[in-house]
Amino acid sequence: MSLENRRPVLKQVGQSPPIGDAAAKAKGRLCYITDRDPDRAAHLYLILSPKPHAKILKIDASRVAGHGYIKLFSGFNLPEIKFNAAKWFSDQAGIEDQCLFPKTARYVGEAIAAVAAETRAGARCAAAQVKVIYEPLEFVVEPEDALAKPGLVQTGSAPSPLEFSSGDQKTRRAAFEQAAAVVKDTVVTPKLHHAAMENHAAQAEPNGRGGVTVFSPCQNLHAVHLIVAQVCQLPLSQVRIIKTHMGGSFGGKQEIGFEPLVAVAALDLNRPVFLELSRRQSIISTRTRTKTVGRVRTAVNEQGLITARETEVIVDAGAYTSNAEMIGRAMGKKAFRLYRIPNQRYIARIVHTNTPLSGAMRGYGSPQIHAITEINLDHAARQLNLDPCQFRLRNLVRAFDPDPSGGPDLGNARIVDCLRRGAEEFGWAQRWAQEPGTGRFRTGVGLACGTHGNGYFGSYPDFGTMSFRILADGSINLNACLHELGHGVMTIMKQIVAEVMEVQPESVTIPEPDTDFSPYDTGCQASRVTFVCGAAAMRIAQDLKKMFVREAALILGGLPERIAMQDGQIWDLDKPKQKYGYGRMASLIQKRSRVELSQTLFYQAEANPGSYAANFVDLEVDSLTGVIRVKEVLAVHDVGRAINPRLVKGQIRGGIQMGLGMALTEDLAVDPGTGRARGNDFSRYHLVNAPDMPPVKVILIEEGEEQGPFGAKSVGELAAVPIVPAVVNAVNHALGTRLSDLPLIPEKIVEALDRQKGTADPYNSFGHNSPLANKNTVREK
Amino acid sequence: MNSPTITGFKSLAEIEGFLSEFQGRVGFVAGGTDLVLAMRRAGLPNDILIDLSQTEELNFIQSDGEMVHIGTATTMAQIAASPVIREQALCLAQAAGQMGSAQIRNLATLGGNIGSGSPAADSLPPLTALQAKGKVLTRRTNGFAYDDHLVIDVCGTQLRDQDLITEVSFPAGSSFRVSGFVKIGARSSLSIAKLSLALVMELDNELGLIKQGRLALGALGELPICPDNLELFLDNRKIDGRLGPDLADRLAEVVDGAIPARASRFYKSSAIKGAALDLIEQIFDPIAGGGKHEP
Repeated sequence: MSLENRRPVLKQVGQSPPIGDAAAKAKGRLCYITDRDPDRAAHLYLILSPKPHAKILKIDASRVAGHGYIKLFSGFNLPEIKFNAAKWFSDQAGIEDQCLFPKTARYVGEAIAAVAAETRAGARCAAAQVKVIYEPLEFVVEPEDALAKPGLVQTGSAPSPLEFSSGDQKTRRAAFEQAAAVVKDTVVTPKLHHAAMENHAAQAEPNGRGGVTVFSPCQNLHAVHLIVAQVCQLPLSQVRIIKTHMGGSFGGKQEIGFEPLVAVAALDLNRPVFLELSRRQSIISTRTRTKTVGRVRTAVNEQGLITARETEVIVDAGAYTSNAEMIGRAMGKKAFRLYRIPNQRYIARIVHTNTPLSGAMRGYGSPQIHAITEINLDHAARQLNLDPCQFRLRNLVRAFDPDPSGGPDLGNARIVDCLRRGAEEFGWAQRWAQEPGTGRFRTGVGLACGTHGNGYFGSYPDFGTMSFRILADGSINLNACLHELGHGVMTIMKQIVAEVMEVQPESVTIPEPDTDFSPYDTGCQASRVTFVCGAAAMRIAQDLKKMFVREAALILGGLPERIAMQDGQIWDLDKPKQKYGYGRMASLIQKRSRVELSQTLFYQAEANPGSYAANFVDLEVDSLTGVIRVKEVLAVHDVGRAINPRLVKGQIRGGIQMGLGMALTEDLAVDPGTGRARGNDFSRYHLVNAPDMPPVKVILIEEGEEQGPFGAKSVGELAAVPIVPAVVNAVNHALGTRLSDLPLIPEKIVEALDRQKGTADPYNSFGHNSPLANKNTVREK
Repeated sequence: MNSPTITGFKSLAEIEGFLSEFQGRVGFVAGGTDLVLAMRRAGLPNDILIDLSQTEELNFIQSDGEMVHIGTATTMAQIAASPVIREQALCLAQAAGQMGSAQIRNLATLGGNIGSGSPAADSLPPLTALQAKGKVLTRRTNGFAYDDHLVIDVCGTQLRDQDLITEVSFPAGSSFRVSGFVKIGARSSLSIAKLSLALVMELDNELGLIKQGRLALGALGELPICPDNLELFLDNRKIDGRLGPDLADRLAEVVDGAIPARASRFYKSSAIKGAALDLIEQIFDPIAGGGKHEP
């Protein structure tokens, strides 16, 4: 039975109001951090290392003159306080090897100093006059090379390898020995930029009492709070963080960036300090998607069942450890939650390279691990002459399966529904059966599946607090530590509480967080907000509704069970003509009962089901130019329940765009010879833009998830996951190749096809005679 | 950072008059799509920037029957949409129409595209194939007056720092001229050319021949490459199903010879084949080509 048939009719959930601040954004009325213009602000400009690895011998500002120059900050005049900018809760484990400015530069683009001046342009000019003397050191760029050179980049304690397994070693070995096929692959995923429209920026100002206030467009206010306090060596009570409106993040603003720097500078200069990065600085000096090299070996028996799998992933942390261990862990968890594989082993080895830092990026390792395993599964299907769809259907997890690695169970996992429904809608069987052709243009289809989590439960503490009030004019306020990143979280939270409270979403306000006033929450990350915070919002609204009914019954002199609420009005069913607006009733309750309609809820996540998706791709490869034209994408997502279907589909389409870039065009492409990123600006870092976007059809599977609000679960991160291997699988189908070094740029396609020379006729456009073959006249001009 | 003064004039004569007196270092800006980026990156060495978008007489497209003339401040969008250019030099209209984004094309000018000197400049291969000349206001070697009008190959190396291209012109074609432009980049729009190819031909329809053909390859070196042997190959060539493949093979040889030691040679010598096939298909069979190369 579908969800629609099991649930009562909903008024707000399932509707698609636009994102609440969309109109203000479109009209330029929303105030971003760079629109703030505090009086007397000093501006910082970063000095970046041009060397991939070098000891900094001297930073000389003695020739800086004019330009409103104020001061140079560097590792030579700031204390070396080590921190890990990926930590988000107190006492979290993690190697602390970063500091504000190092005395050894470890990658091209690393901020090694900052110049403060009266204006941004002045700071930039002054920075150009600063002379830095380096002593070059040996450097390493490729993760596999780094494995052989431990201690070259970081000399402190190295992250230990991570390992997860299911089954036992003996049966795993036997499975490989007895397999009908053992399929091996090495898959490389690139270092990527998030490309949020808003570049990184931060502001800070002294609070006059020895502390500091920091303005930050961030994903996790309390994490910023922790790290700023640590670096400034201040008690948390002396640090205030205010989250500003933001122009996108995609994980790029999840770890702490330059907030500690502006805070330290503001305290030192005793005036407001402002730092805004350029696009190039945002690309090479902040965070990137973790580059990975995955080696995978899969055993399949004669029935087409996967009997064992071993995956070893080299996780490229970049120059500092940051979240690399967490990414390695997150990838490993996903490997156990998509297929029923009785014997499995996953190992992640973390390496440091002289390249920009890795960090959170949409999917937090999911696009990487799924690229590794789903490309391999397609190769397995081909090797066994199986339809990749049927092969997967034999092996996919089912609803409420356990997690064999010991994590929370999978919940109402509907990946089989996704794949079956998608295959039918896409016409998979017919398209798969078509020959790709041997002419210039080859067509291919590909599919892939993916899973992602719903929060941290089972891995890290996942909890928070919310307060909910009905004000005296009937408006409703939800005070929670929710972060709007541009994805519409405030809008869906309003829909959830409005549904419970029988009001319109517009009557609900949810402020952006501020550590002085907002309660704690684990942050807008880990695909947890809809599932965890949304469920909390639903519960607190239900609690407040009960309170409201109880208090109103006292005022109306009736029984609580005879109190009705609808469309912002409350009344006693026995007195249907005496209806009260919520504001009027709230005022009466305050006046007569001396009670504020208010609830506070402390919540803890108690489940972490999987969200699932299957993507289908149809594309065409030009065998001469190597250009790939994606013609069509079908994305089928198990979302439990779409609170706002338009926003869900928007997330999916945006995720497809990011995934296409990861598969085909995007790469920082750090040169192993120089350590410089070739893709360090948008003229060389190629996002898939609107003219190249294929039509994307979205189908939602809404079978409900018990612990999610109205059955909802996550979608935003998973949206960027299965598309990556689906595209690669389609290219390999078109060309008969086993390409697995992402992105599949045209040069790699041409090179791969050269290895197949003699099997094709590139001058045959359609696999038959050229349309010009019989032409001997020309068209009239 | 140097901040040059920006000024503008209503007429070319006023620009000339100003420059005859001015002693400092001059720069020119029209659309600013390249210059603003350069300015942000490293500042500008100029004392003054003359804004050519204020000089209306530098914005025109005319054909006098013998020659087609384009003012230097004419935008790419205007060139792409011009009936005169589409009739006389479709390759140039196509190149202008594929340059950057709509927003960039609305600002970027022909003079800027030539003057910025990018090896990947989209207008250069068509202009080379069209044998275009530029009228240039240049500072004389023996003084500082801008009083010497030169006519140069717009894609040559004669342009010097502080020169001002005022006009580009090329011979008008016969009614049997056909032309086309194909560009290969990282994506279908808003990308820098990895390779581009322009072809201009005079046809003999009765005999089904190319009477004369000229082509130019872009993004292979600092200047477009115009291989003589391919002109010989094209001249009096019969138009048949082998035209595309034969041209493709010869162009691949040109690429191999032009960049023998460059890492991109292998890719470009394959990609140029695709560009050649697309170009021939586009010119002779636009319906089969699906019109995908139209600007």
